Amino acid sequence: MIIPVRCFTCGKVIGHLWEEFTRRVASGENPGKVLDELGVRRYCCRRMFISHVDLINEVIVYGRKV
Amino acid sequence: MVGIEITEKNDTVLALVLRDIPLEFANAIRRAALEEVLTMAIDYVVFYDNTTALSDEIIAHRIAMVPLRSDLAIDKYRRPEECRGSNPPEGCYVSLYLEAETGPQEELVIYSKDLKPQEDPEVVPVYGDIPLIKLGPQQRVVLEAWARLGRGREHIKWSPATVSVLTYIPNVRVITERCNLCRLCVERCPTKAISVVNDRIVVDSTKCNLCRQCVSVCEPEAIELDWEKDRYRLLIESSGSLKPERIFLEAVLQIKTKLLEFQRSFKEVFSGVGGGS
Ligand code: SF4
Ligand code: SF4
Ligand SMILES: [Zn+2]
Repeated sequence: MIIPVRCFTCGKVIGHLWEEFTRRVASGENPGKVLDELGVRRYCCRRMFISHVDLINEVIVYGRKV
Repeated sequence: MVGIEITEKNDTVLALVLRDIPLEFANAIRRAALEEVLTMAIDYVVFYDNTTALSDEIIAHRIAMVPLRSDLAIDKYRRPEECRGSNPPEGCYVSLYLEAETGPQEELVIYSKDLKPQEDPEVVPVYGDIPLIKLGPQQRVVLEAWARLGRGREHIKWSPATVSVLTYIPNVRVITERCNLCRLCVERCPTKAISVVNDRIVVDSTKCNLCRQCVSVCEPEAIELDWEKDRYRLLIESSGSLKPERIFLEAVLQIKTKLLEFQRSFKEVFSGVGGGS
């Protein structure tokens, strides 16, 4: 839903790289190359990026109104 | 002779070759790096207001995973053993504060850098750009997060190392007289450690991962696979809360503390029997 702070498997912090990853991939760069350059080497961490769907943008309208 | 050689070192990764250190002891250092070394992490979150789409629990869990700078804190705050119970003494907890609100048309991403330290400016998130919460229009979140020292064996959020592995150092030998240069091993090796140079099989042992596939594919049994008996490779990758070399040192100190405790209780047991002093 929202990018996890860390890799589920190894615990490497990955959240801070998400926005740069999506920005660069949206501008046409190769996702694998971007991950290499961001220092995301293990494939447990790489799948955190390539399998993530940012559903948060659809969920935020359903806040708890008080 | 005991020795340590650095093979790779940067802000988050430290790779060492340990020489003449028994495997059991090297492995104790590896485990202590994961489970015993103290770091700061958020352990309580008090919500004053939260009308976002994310529940309090989700936010609390996300905030807890954010590594906090711990290099000064480990000498400054009390150990977790001293902080148990509902009434912990002074010097256990340090708090960070977060407050955010959106207008009618506004959307807002809250990052780890928005967690503002209240008492101690040294205990701050290591990475400031981790998205924590996203607010839709007209939402509000106000919270106070309490951090304390802890150990990886209690919860992995306190572990300073994301990776701590001890590996053998391979030693691949080719017996040239037996080799018929069929090159099956060259094709099979998954790490491309084997190549042919001047009609001889040459192995780069630093690339080898000890998978033994070359041995199983070699008909004339020309490959002997072994590992060095007196050297091990230790790799520590830091979550950011401590520098990797500090993790190594603290791991050794934690083992030393445990051994001294053991020695003390051992002496206590035997002082009554009159066996030792
Ligand atoms: S598989 Fe064995 S015989 Fe064939 S090239 Fe490799 S070492 Fe030589
Ligand atoms: S053991 Fe595996 S990695 Fe090592 S040289 Fe043989 S095939 Fe390559
Ligand atoms: Zn990972």
